[in-house]
Amino acid sequence: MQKKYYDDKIVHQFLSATMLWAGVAFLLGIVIATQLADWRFNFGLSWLTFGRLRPLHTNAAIFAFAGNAIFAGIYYSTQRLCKTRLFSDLLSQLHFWGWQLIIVAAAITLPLGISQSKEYAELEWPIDIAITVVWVIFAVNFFGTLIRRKERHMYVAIWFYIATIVTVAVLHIVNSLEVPVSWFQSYPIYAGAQDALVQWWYGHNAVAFFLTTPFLGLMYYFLPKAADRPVYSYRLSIIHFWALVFIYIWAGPHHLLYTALPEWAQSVGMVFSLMLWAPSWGGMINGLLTLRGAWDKVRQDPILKFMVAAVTFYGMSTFEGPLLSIKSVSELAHYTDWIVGHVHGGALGWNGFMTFGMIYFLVPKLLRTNLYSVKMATLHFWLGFVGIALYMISMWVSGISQGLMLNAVTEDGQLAYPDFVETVMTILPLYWVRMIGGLMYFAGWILMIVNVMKTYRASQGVQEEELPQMSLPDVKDQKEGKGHRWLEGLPITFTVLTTLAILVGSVIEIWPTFTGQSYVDANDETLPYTALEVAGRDVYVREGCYNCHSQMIRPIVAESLRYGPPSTIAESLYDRPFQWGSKRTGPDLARVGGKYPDLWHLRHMLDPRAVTPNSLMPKYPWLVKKKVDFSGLPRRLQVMKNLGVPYSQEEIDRAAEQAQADARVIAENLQKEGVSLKLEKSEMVALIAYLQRLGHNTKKKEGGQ
Amino acid sequence: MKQEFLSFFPHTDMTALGLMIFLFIFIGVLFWVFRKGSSEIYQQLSQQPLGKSEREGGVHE
Repeated sequence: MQKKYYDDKIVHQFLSATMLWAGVAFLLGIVIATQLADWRFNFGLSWLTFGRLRPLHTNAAIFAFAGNAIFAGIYYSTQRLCKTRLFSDLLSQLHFWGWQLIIVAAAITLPLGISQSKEYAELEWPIDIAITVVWVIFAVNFFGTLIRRKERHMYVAIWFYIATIVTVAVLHIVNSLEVPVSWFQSYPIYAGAQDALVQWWYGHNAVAFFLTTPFLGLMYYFLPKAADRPVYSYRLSIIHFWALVFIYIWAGPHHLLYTALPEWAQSVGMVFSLMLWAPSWGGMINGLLTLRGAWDKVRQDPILKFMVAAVTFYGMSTFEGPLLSIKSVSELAHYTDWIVGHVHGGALGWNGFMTFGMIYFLVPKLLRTNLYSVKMATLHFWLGFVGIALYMISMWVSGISQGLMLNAVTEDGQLAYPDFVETVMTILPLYWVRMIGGLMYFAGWILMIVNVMKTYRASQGVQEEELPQMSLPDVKDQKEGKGHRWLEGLPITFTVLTTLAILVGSVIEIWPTFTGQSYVDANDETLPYTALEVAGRDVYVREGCYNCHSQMIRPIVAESLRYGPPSTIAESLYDRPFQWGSKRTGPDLARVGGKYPDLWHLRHMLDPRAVTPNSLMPKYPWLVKKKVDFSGLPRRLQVMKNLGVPYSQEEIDRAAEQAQADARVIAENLQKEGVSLKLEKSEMVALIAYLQRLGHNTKKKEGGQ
Repeated sequence: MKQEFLSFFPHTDMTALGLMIFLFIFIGVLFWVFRKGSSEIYQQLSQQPLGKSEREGGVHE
C-alpha cells in the first residue's frame, strides 16, 4: 500500500507565522505603552499616533498572533484525532496565504486611519469580506477533514473547534453589516445604542470564541499530551463545553453597564457573566487536575510550566471578569486601566503562555529532534511570568487609584479632584512599570526565537508524519449506544445543536433593540449632524479618538458633576458608528460642545500642553494641513439617509456648499481672534464643528414637556 | 418617567421560560453524562489524544 502522511507542512507554516506576528504584536504593545508614559513617543507622525496604533496592536495580538496559533494547533490536532490528512492541501494553502494577506492589509490600513472604530472589528469592508471568504475556506477544510475521519468518535477538543468556527462566523457577519461609502469607508447599518449592543455582543464573544473556546480545545488536546495522561474528567469537559456555549453568548452587555443601554439588557449581561464563573472554573480545575501525580514533571518541563501557568491565568481572568461585571465594581473599574490589566492577564497569560507551550511541544515534534535548550525555554517562562505580574499589578494599582480619584466627592458635594489631568499625573509612573513588564515579555519572545532557530538549524527540516494504516471501524463493532452516537458522534448534528445554543442568546438579546425607537423619550427629537459635522466626525473616527475618550456619561454623582447630566439613547440615535468608547485615558467628551471656545480647541489640537499642562495627548498638526473632502459629503449624507437619518434631498444636494459656508464662519471667527493660519478648508475646522456639537444632539419637540 | 420606561422589560413570561430552558438543559446534560455505560465510552475517548504511534522528538536535556 502507498504510504500516506499528515499535512505537517501547513502546521509548520502557521506556527512560523504565529512566532513572527507575536513579535510584531508585542513590539506594538511596547510602543503604545511608551506613548502613554510619554507623549513625545508619538513622534508627531499621524500614522504613529496612539489612536491609530492601538487598534493595530489589538488586531495583531488577537487575529495575527492568537489566530495563527489557533490554526496551527487545530490543524495539527484535528488530523491526529481524525487519523486522516487534512481535507485539501489547496484549501490549506489558500487559508494560510489569505489570512496573512488580511493581516498585511490590516497593518497598512489601520495606521492610515482607515478604520470603522468598532473595537477588534476596525477593518474596513473589503477586508471584512476577505475575512469571511478565508473563514469559509477554513470551515470547509475543517469539516471536510471531519467527514473523512477514520475514527468514529469526536474528541472533546473538536467540539470546541466546531463551536469556534460556527460562532466566529455568525459574530463577524452580523457585526460587519455596513454600507460602503467608498473603497475605504463605510457606515454600519446599526446606530447608537443598537450599534453598541451589537458591537459588544461581538467584542465579548470574540474573547469567548476566538480567545477562549479554541484555546480550551488546544488545552484538552495538548495538555494531556504534554503530561502524558488523559484529561482528569471527560464528563466535566462535556459539562464545561455546553455550559460555556450556552452562557458566554449573553455576557456582552457587561461592557455597557451604566450606559444608556436599556437596563434589562445590562442586568442580563451581568447575571450571565456571574454564571460564567462556574463553567470556567470547572474547566480550569479539569486542566490542573490532569496533572495529578505528574506535578514533579512541571519542575523540569518548560512545556508543562507554560501550560499550567496558562490554565491558572485562565482561572484568574475568568474570576476577575465576572467580578468586574458586577455593576458596583464596574462603576469603579470601567473606563480605567483595571480593564486593560484584566485583558492582558488573559491575553499574555492564558493565550500567550498556552501558545508558547504549544510551540515548544510542536517544534521538536515537527523537526524530529530535541529542543536546542531547555534552560532558555525555562528562562523564557520566568521572564514572561514576571513581565505579566508587573503588567497586571501596575494596572490594578493604576486603575483602582484613578477610579477612586475620579469618583471621589467631598462632603460639601464638590469633586475632590476636579482636574482630570491630576489623576493622570498620579498614575503616570505606573505606565513605565507596565512598559518594563512588556519589555520582559518581549525579551522572552526573543529567547524563544533564538531557541527555535537553533533547533531548526540542527534538524533536517520538517518531516511529515506517516498516517497509521487503518480503516473506519464499523458502527456495529462499537460499544456505545445510539444516543451517544447521535448526540456526540456526528459532526453535522452536533454543529446544528451548537449553532442553536449560541443563536438563542444572540437573538433574544439583540432583537428588542431593533425596535430601538421605543426606548427613546418621545419628547426628544434627535437632530442629524450637519454636513461639516459629519466630516469632523469622520476625522474623529479616523484618528481613533475613541481609544482614549468616551462619549457616555454614566448616571453617577461624580460624573454628573464632572461632565453633566447622564447621556441618553436619543443623543446617539444617529451615531454611525457609535462612539461611546471603552476607556478614559482622557476625559469624557459627550458634553464637551460649548464648554470651550473654538480657539481653545485649535490650540489644544496643535499642542495639548499649551492649554492643559501635563496632558498625555499627542499633537495633531496635520489637521491644519489636510483638506476636507467637501465633494464627497453628499454621498456620505445619502448613505446615512438610506439608513434612516432624516436628511432632506436639498440638504444632501447642498451638503458641500453648506459645509464650506459653515467652515468659513468658524475660520473667520478664529481669524478675528488673531489666528493667522488658513483654516477654512482644513479638517481642523470640521473637527472643531463636530466637537462643539457634542452634547447638543437633541431638542425638545414642539408641544412636548 | 423615562428611567422607568427604559428599565421596563415587558416580557416576564419570557424570563421564566428562559430560566426553565436553561435549568432543564443543564440538568439534562448532568443526567446525560452520568448515564449507564458512559464511563467506558468516556474512558476510551479520553485516551484518544494519547496514541502510541507518535514519532520521536521532544524536550529533553
